[in-house]
Amino acid sequence: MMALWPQSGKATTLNELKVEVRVVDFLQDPPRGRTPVAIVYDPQIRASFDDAVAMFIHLQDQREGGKAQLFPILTDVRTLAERPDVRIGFIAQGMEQHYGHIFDYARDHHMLTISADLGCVRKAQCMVGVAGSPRVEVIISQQAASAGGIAFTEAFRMMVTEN
Amino acid sequence: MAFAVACLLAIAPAGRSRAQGLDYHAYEQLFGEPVTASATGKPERVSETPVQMDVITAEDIRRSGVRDLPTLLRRLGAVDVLRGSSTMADVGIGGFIRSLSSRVMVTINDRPVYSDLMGAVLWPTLAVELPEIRQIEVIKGAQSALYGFNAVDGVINIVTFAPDTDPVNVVQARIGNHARRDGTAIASIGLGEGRGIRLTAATDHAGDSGLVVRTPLDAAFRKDPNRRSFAFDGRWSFTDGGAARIGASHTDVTDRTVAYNAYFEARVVTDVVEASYARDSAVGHWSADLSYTSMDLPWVASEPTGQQTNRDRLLDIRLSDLFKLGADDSFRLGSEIRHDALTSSNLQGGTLTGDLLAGSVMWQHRFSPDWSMVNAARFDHDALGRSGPGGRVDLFGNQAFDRAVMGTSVNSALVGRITGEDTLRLAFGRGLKLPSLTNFGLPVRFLPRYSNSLLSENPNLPAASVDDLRLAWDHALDGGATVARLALFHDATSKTVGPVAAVVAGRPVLMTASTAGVVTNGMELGLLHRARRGWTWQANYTLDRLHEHRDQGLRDSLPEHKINLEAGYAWEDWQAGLAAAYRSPTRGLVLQAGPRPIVTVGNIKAHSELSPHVAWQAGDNVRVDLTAENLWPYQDTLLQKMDTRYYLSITISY
Repeated sequence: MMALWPQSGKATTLNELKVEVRVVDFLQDPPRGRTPVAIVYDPQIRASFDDAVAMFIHLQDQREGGKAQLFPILTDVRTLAERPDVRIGFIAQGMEQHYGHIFDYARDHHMLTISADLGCVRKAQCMVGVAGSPRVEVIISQQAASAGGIAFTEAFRMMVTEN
Repeated sequence: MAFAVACLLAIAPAGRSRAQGLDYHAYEQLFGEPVTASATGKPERVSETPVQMDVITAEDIRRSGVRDLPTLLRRLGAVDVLRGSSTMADVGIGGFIRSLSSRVMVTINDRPVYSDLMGAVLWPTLAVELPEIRQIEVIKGAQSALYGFNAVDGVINIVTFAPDTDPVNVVQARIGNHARRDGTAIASIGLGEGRGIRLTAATDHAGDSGLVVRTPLDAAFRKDPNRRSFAFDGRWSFTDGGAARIGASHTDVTDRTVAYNAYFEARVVTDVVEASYARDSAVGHWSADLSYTSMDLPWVASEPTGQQTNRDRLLDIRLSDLFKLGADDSFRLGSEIRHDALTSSNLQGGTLTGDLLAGSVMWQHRFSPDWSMVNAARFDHDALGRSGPGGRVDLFGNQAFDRAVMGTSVNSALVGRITGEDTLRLAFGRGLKLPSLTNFGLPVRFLPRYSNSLLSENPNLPAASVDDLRLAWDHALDGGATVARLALFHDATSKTVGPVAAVVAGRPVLMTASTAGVVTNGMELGLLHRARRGWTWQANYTLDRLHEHRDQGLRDSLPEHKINLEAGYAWEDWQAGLAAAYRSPTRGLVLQAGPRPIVTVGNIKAHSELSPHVAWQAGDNVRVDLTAENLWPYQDTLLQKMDTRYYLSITISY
């Protein structure tokens, strides 16, 4: 599977990014039209920075085919509070040390958080985790999603794994 | 009417939320594989269904070059097709198959198209054209706990493209030998976000061919196969998150088939109106479906029994609620109300009714991301009734029909991914088979030259059960591009319906009766490779061992060995394909010509089939297909010789 940023050891793959974009369509109240999405990273962590930039470039191209027009905003994890209008966050790789802070912010601001690091969702720190290989997997942390008031359609819940 | 609905849709408020019905396109894009709701009533990925399922995609249909659904289905493993004419067919799964006695539930977008009148699916009367089909889901094994009575050998769910999200705009013309002339026009009209309609019109005509023996009497009423179809499909979403679908269709078909060892020719006019609504709520995802089907047979003619007319009216209402409790348990509660009324000249204008009430529950539990289990049960209660004068020679009064048949269906299945490439499925189903209204209450009188005897109705027929056990192992190769399958199945039917000699009120008659059952044991081996470019291929072998406990004239008549091979190659603007098949010898109907033709049972030779196909994509919008079917003509087990057929099709997409 092609990584978005081959130089980094761990990166969100293109397939995983596509899945992240499409997951947004299955919110019970999905966004429509031009919708901001925060790509949350830490500039002090090289892997997260590289991953975030690659995600940003691909999302800018708007090739990934969700129903809403997502426009990406590179967002330093320390400045999340400066983006109160953003309701969707894609978490870059390598952000383990910030999971607690991201969860707190997402819970308080009802922000959907999605990560290709399944460890984040298994720890109930991210709401959705995705994997693109060997097969597409979507895992929802009910605990994290409920805390943030995020709900998905019933049909979608039937088709994914819930923790 | 279509215009009025279009106007209604246009002024309806645009839905902010997406449609809550299963959005096949969106889920397929998300998971990178087909999705289905046919296996359990719950949406799921095809690779995770607990049942043994084959999916024929729109691309498979396009690359096959075939012009009708039974030909397409026949290429799957463990699927049998009987041909009553060049266009009329019965489709069976897993062995036991009889003409006009369907044991497979066929649905279009989950609406059953089973005819209570004859207990059959008349394929040409289905108002669906190949270019508007998104996928065909073929589920093998008893499924009546979910789909209701008579889904005892399997289910074939035809899913069409959603008119709001997947527009289809096609004009197609086809000519061929045997005076084949087909035309199809499909137009989709978007009416804003989340709203759209599709209009489809089709006409098919061919000269009658393949009749083994012609008689002067038969010639008097024989017609060429002819079909006209019109369909409307509309879907839109509402601001509350709900989604509605409205459809209407009309088909007018003239065709013939073979039943009870005699040719039947008929004109069948079918009108359907349907509506459904689904939405998420605090108590889960619920849906309501309503359909009304009118099936008129203004004439049915048969050499031994003369002419009759039949009218059937069916109202079907289904409600279901699908919800998830916790992370691992999904449930579906369902109910069905079905009212059917049959009026026939054989009842001298009297009416036979069936009122069915059914309730069902499904529970799916996920043990782990790789292992899950599904259990389902359904109870059916069908109350009969009859009014009017009854048959001319009536062995039963109307009060004999004041009774009900009932039964319970169950399904239980376990599916597990034992490795990343291997999936194991173990399933048990107990299906419920109810007799048709014709079986219950439509007497038939043979003409004097054919014995003048009576085939009597029988309101006391019981329901039958079908126990089905299946074990299937799928192994993915090449990263999932190729799938190998081994499946073993055992299918036991407790009783079948057939004519027996009886004495009623001191009078000897032939009577429709419940007779001994049948058992099928079999094995299916398959390989399927799909790709957009380059090679696609599939191969399957089915071993079917059928044993009928009672000989109704066609005992154990089923090819024991069946092989299907199909290969295709796509390059640049071209596609080519070759489908081949082999059927081992069996027994079938043989007609001996004479003033009064006599039908007997004889040997049907082993036969091989070869059907090549080539297609040229002439630019972005024009496609030309040249297809040959049955380069080596063969005789089916019915009285039908399948001739060689050539088609030239031109398809314009716009």
